[in-house]
Amino acid sequence: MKVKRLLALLLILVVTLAGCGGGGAAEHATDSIIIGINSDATALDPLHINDTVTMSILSNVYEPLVRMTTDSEIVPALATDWTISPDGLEYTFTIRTDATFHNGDPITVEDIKYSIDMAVESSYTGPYMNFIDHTEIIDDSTVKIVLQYAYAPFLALCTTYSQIVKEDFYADGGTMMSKEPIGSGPYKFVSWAQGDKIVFEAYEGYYAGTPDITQLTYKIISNSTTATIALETGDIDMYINVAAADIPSLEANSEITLLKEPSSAFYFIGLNMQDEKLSDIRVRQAIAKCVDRDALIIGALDGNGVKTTTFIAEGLPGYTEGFDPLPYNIEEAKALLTEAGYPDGFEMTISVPESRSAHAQMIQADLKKIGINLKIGIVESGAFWDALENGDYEMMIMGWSYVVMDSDVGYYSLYRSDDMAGNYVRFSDARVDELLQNGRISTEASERAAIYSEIEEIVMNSAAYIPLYWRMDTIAFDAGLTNIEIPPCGFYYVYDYAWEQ
Amino acid sequence: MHRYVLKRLVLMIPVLIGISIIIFSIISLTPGNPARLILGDRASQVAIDELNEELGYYDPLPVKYVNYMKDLLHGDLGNSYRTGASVVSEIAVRFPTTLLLSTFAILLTATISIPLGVYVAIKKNSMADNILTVLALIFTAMPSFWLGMILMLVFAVGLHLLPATGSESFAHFILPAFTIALLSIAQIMRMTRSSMLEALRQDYMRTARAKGVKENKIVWKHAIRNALLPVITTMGVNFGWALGGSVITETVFGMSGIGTLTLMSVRSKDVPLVMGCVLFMSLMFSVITLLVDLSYGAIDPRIKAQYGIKNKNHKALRRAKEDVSTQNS
Repeated sequence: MKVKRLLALLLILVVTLAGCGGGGAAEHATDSIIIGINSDATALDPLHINDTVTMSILSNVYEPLVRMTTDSEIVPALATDWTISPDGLEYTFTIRTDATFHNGDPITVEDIKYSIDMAVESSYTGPYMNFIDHTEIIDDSTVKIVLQYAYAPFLALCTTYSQIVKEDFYADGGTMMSKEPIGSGPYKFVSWAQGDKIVFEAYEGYYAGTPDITQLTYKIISNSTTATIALETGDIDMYINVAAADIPSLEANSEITLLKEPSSAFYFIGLNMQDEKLSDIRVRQAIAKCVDRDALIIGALDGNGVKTTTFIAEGLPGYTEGFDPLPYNIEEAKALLTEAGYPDGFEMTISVPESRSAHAQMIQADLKKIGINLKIGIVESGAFWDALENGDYEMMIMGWSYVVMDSDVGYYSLYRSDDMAGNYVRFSDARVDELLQNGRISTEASERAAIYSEIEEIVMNSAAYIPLYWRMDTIAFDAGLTNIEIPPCGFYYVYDYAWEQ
Repeated sequence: MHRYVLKRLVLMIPVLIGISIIIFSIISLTPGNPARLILGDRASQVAIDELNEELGYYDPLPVKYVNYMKDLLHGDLGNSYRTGASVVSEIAVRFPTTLLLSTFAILLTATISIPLGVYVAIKKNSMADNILTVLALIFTAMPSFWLGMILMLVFAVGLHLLPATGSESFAHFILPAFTIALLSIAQIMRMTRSSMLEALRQDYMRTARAKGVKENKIVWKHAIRNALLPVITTMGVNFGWALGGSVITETVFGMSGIGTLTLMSVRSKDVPLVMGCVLFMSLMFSVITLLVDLSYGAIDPRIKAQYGIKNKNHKALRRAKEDVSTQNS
């Protein structure tokens, strides 16, 4: 009897609750956006960070000299105009005089000099800006940046690494700038609840006018499925880095727009050229020829990747449609391996971090076809990087990304013989070194295209690195939001976004 | 009693030192250098070496440990590799969320599971007992991430009653607290039941009944006091764990507590933060265990009496010894 009463009570409760929830999704305010991100910002000071999530946030808070559109075009920001000296060494920027910091201080040429000098000096941003020799102040609205050597990607790098700060703001040693910064871009810092959310609001003094969206909040949700639910309930309006498993349910939801585009991050196999067997180009080519990229993308990534046989992104100098010097062919791979003296194959180990174990399994199956018995060594990510730096591995899978869209960024570190932070396979070729150097110096587009085509031909045939795929970037947002595109380097610039009226 | 508390507090020190040595060694022996993690994979070798030097990465393990402990005595747990902020402040910022969540969850557990446990013990083998036993089994078997997701889908997505993620308002704590509570309710309820059955079988129960004490009073005054000890112990242990951060529940509900902090620090191999979180968890666990032990005295007069007896025995023994020594001289 009592049980029945209990059940009845429960039933009533459920019905009442269901009744309360009849309202449906809440109406959105048209001047605010909440963006879900999968990890918290590390610090809010542009000189002391280098992770993509934080860089994406700060692109809204600090104003650079120039900005990059989602079509990879470089457009004026603080610099209204610029000229490049014929030798490519000197960049003269005309600076606008009506821009201010969020505390109202005008942005002066001194601040620009300070910011660029500091970007070169910082251990975080230095690796990307250390080709700058010095910065000169010409007059109140002109600044000249002199490079050590002509470096074509300079302007592209400025879109990210020339964010303007003021020396006075660092008077306390940088604590304020990393926790409660005074910025220079369209959005002004309001509050930061660590691990929970970061809040910004539109800066009324922004020289280009305030944006449609005046309240910008980043909410930290590390679990993609949780974020998906939060998006469906309206807790957040947009989520960056949707996991493959959550794509189907978001695609099915008509109230949510899902964008999926190949990113500028690419993944590849690396073969240690100091290894005895792998130092033979025929062995490397044989391996390259038996990797089935289509199967890998389906098997390890649920189809969320775009296969590639080059590291040069479409549209960059040196890109050749359909370039594939070592196409998939098991018979030829076997022949190459026999020629190299391994008719029955051999045994070796692939080192991968846990996140890429499925990749390794797919490649293991591929290599079996030509008799190579691949053992999978899953290592913790710290150990993985140590192994790479010490050359203590045979085969590995890693990723690389374009911080700015320029062929130099894709190739230089990976193949330059004296670059120890990138050339983990110990590739060494005098001609490639020379070409890489020329590619940096040349500012002539057609010349650069020829240079990178030649590099591509040499390095891809050598098969020291075997390209696999471009990672897919997937973002999801409320269908009421417009003007959102996936930016080439992963920096989401909210200034352009708006709610549909 | 005071001596006992003091002794227990002093005993916590070697426990914490032991834990710190174990964790410190394990983390230090795993490969991966901190400067590379901080500066990223494209930083120059010079910058990497300099920063590693500054962080004391090249010091031998015992030196590193001693330096760490020295700072620890000054209340300094070092700075997070990832954010550069002090570990103490990182933990302090997140602790209120975890404290509120754990307290809420333990209160829910206690108020629901103990009465239910007593009820089913009295109504042993009734229909209600069977239904609740089955329910308890179902909830015990549910993984918390799954239960959390289901609660979220039903109450946040389906019914729009409660917010799904975050920790801004009290409403945000309801679903995660229930997620934690539902799993331990089952456990505590079963435990209360068996413990109560045990107590109800005792001779003094029969005596009480024979004296004509009312059944209600027998259950709620006599039986429950005796039955509650193991229940309190288990709840205390659960609470101790929860205070160290409910990693899964906090992650599923996107809450910023000690659990998500620990998970993040392990993922990014943020050594000082991992150390800080683990030590904090151990401290919480030790303190709660001590409080649970002390609560025995409050609940069970026999144990309270023992604190006193022990001391008396001690004095008596000393007096006896003194007597012997005077006799000998």
